[in-house]
Amino acid sequence: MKRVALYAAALAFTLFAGFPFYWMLVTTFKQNRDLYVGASDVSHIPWIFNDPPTLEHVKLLFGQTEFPRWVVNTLLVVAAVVVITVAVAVPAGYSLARLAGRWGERLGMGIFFTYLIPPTLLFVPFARLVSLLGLQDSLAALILIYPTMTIPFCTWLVMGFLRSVPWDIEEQAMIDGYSRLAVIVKVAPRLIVPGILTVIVFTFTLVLQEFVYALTFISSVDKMTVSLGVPIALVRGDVYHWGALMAAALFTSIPLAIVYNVFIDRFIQGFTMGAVKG
Amino acid sequence: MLPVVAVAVLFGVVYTATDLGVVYILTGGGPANTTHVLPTLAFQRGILGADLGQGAAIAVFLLPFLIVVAVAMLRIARRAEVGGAGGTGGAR
Repeated sequence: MKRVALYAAALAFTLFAGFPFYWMLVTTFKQNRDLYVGASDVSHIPWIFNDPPTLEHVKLLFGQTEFPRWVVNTLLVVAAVVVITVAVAVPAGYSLARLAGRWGERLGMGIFFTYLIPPTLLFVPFARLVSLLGLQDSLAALILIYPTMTIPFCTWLVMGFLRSVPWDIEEQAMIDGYSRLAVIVKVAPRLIVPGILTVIVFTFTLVLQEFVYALTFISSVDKMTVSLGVPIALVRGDVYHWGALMAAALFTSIPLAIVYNVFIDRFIQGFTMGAVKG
Repeated sequence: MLPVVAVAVLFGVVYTATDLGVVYILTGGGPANTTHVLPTLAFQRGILGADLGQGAAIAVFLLPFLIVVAVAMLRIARRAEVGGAGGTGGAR
C-alpha cells in the first residue's frame, strides 16, 4: 500500500514536470487554426491535435528567423565563458578551501555575496563599461561580462565541494614526497573532476538563460543569443508566435536535457556536496 | 528547517524583485507604463532612453529594500542555527 502511494506520487510529479515539455511539443506542431480557438469554443480540447500536425512553425523558426545563427552564437559564448570560469573559479575555490585557512571561509562568503547582487543592479554600470571598451553589440561583451556572475557562484561551489573531499589524500601525497605544487598539478585535479563538471553544467545553464545583459549589450539580430533572439524576433508587439516560440524552446531544451541526463549522477553528487556543506 | 527556509525566501525575494526578463517579455512595462517594475523602468530610462544616470538611480532604489530583506532573513537563519545547536553546518 505504501509502495503504491509512493509510485502514485512519483508518477504525479513526473507528469507535472513533464507536462510543459509535452505542451511545447504539441504547440510546436499544431496548426494555427487549432491553436487559437480555446477561449471561444469550450468543446475544443486543447491538449491534443484536433487538426493534423504541421511543420509551419518549425519552418518559420528556421526559415524566417536567424535561429541557427543564434545557436552558434550561444555556443561560442558558452564555450568561452566555460573556459574562463573553470580557469578562474576552480583554482580560486581550491586555494580558498585548502590554503587560506580561516580567512578563506570568510573570503568565500564574500565572493558568494557578490553573486547575490543581481544583474538588474549591474546592467546600467556595465553598459557604460562596455561602451567605454568599445564592445557594444559584440559577443565579446557577453564573454567579458558573463564571468562576473558565473565565477563567484562557481568558486563557492568548488569550495563547498572540496570541503567534502578529505584533505587526507593530498596530505598523503605530500608525505610521500610531493611538493604542494605537485599535489595541485597531479593529485588535486582528479579529486575535483565532479566539481568541475558541476561548474560546467552551472555555467552552461546560467549563460543559456541569461537575458538582461544580452538585451542590454546586443542590438543587431545576427549577434543575438538564443535566449534574446527568440523572444525578440517571435514576440512582435502583442502578437506571440506561440508555435515558433515553443519550437525554439523545444529545440533548445532537448539537447540540454540529454546532456543533463548524461551527467546527472556526477552533477547531483557535486551539487549536493557543494550545497549541503556550504 | 528554518535556516533553509530563510535562505530560500531570501533567494526568492531577491530573484523576483530584480527580475527583468519576464516582465519585459510579457508586457514590456506597457500599456502606457502601467506594468513597470523598477528593473524594467531602469532599463527603459537607462538603456532605451540613453540616460544611464537616471537608469542607475532607479536600479539603486532596489538596494535598500533588498538589504532589509537580506539582513532580516540572514538573522533568522543564524539565530535558528545557533539556537538549534548541533548539526554539522557550523556557524555560517
